[in-house]
Amino acid sequence: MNRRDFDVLNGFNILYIEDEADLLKHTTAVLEDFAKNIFSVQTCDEALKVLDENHIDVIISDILLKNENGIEFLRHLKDDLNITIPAILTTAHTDTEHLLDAIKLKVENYIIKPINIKELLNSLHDVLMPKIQQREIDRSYNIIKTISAVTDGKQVDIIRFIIKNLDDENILKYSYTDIMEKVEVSKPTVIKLFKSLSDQGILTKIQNAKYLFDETKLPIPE
Amino acid sequence: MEFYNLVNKILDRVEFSNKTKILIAIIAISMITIGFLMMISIFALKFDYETLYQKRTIPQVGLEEIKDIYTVNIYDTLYDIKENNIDAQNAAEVISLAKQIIKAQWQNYNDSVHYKIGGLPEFASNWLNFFLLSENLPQKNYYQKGLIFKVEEKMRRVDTQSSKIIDLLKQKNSYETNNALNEIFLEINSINIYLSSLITSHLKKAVAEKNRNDRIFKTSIYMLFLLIGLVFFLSIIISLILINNFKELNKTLEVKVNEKTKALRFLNNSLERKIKTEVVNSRKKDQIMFQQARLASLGEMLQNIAHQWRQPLGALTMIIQSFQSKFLSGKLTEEFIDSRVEDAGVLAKNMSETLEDFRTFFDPNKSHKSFSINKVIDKSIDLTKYQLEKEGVDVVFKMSEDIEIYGFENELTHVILNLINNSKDALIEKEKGQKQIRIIVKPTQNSVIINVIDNAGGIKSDIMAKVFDPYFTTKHKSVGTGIGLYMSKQMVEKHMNGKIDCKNIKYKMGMEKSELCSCAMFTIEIPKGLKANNEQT
Repeated sequence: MNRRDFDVLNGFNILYIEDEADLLKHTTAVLEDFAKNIFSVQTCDEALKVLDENHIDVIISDILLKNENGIEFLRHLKDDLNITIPAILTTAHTDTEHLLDAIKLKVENYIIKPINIKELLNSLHDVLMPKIQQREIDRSYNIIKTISAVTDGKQVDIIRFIIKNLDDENILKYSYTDIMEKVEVSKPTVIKLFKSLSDQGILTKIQNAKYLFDETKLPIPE
Repeated sequence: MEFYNLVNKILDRVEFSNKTKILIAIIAISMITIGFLMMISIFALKFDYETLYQKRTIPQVGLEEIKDIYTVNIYDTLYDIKENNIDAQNAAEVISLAKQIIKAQWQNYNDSVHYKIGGLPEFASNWLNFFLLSENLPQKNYYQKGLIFKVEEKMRRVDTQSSKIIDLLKQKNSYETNNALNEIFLEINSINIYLSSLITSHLKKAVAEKNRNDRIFKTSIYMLFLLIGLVFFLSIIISLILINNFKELNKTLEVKVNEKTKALRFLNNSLERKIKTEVVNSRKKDQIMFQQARLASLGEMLQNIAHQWRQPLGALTMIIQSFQSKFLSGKLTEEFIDSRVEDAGVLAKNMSETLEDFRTFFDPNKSHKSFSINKVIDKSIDLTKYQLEKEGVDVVFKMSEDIEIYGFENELTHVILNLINNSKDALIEKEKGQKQIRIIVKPTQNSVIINVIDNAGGIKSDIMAKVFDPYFTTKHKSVGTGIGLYMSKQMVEKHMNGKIDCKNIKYKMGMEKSELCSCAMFTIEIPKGLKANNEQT
């Protein structure tokens, strides 16, 4: 178990529905080390209450609850309350019927009991990945904006243009003049930047108006 | 002897009823023949008597009279005339009267000679003549006819002569009268002679006919005796043959009966042997069946164990993993370890208890002991709880005061489990409404009554009588073995001296609407205080 992989989870709220007290207790004890908050409930009513009061990122639910059904609960959320939260089902049964229902409901994963913690965490990681990535993108965007605020804004614009116009093979097919027209910068600024990049091996001239962008040469941020 | 054998051979082929029919037919035909012959003979005799009287006696009498009249009236009158004893007038009257009488008598004679007898007697006589008498009577009719012709001629001449005499008398010509008289006397004499010959010829014919008559009589008698004798002889022969036949039939039948008896005895013996082996087989089958049922419930129990273990097993797995995760996050405190070890201990103990419950249930060492009915039922419900919950079936157990019973605890558990399972299977098919099983225990003075009621709609009336039969099942082959209820009945009746029965009832299952449901109710009645009895067995 690599702790680093699952550190990303600790920014999320998890709702855990399991009717059996022992399992609920022990699983919660494990999960609370990873998640930001874990809300453990035994019934669907309690779950609804939690959903009403808190922001929940992912739901883990048992299928067979006391007199209730996890799949029915998720369907109720999706169809009637119009709440779309990624969900993972846990069950001791491998009935085809349940499995088909789960697929139709498009739940994110289906875990067979007894629960393997690593499998559950991996599954949570997969489920939350889009959210994690979105956060990462937002953060990178903020970094760029901050950089452009403190350095020469034009250079940042040119870099943005280069990255944006790379083709599938990471090749830029523009001449200096083209770039000057599109980004509205002076020629010396362009030449200066290209020289600086080619010195570090990031941008290599293949022929006239054709440059290879090598992302491996980019310096790793601290 | 050859004939006898031949008849025997033929008779052998003929059926018994046909044999008697043949006998009766022969006797009947013979009787009819005899009767016919007798009738023929009697009518032939009658014909002969008629002939004798009509054709012989009456003509003779007539002829005698004619003869007398000629002699007495005509001759004497003429004689008187000759002697002049009488006058012509009177003589003429007398003679004409005599003539009239003679004419009438002659007519009578002719009538009777030509009298036709006819009818049955003549037919019989002709028949007899044709069949029995080859020799026919000689025809003497020509002689007779000649006589008759002559007599008629003479009579005519006497007539003319007498008329002439009367005429002469009237003329008083005595000489010619005397001549004529002499002549007529001669004529009358000759008529008399002819008439006598005619009479004689008739007499002769009568004599001849008498002979023929005798012959007919004799022949008829002979034939009758012969026929009677023949019939008697035939009847006796056929009767003897039939009797012999019966004897032989009897003998062969006896032989056949003996053979059949032997065969039957043999069959009986082999059947006895077969039955013995079949009984042994069926006992083996029963044992196998019990084994099967045991295995079937074992499988079901195994599913229950599996489920009952699944939950604590999941929790235990989680506890073990939590040690690792807590260690990695550096939160593995002594307190945490203590609490988890304690939890794990409780879970493991539960699992062990479950296992023990099932183990004792399948304990092959049967032992009598006192046990609580309520506990048995609670345990049964517990053992099936998982499957009942899965199918959404409620079980309500109405306990009364706790009753102790002495016997096989496991068997009663088995029976209750079986009933609950059957109810559950029936309830699965029920589509709507609450699915409920109710178990009610009621003590009576000498026994305990356990009612297991389910609201699945009852048992169909056409299978009601068969539910306790072995290998009878309404379920699919893969599900039901058809021996659950049969085994339950065996256990209740043979090991607990109790009774098990079922019927359909209308029952309020204690629901909110409290409407009556169609329910099936199984009733087990187990006598209390069987301790003494069971210890003996």
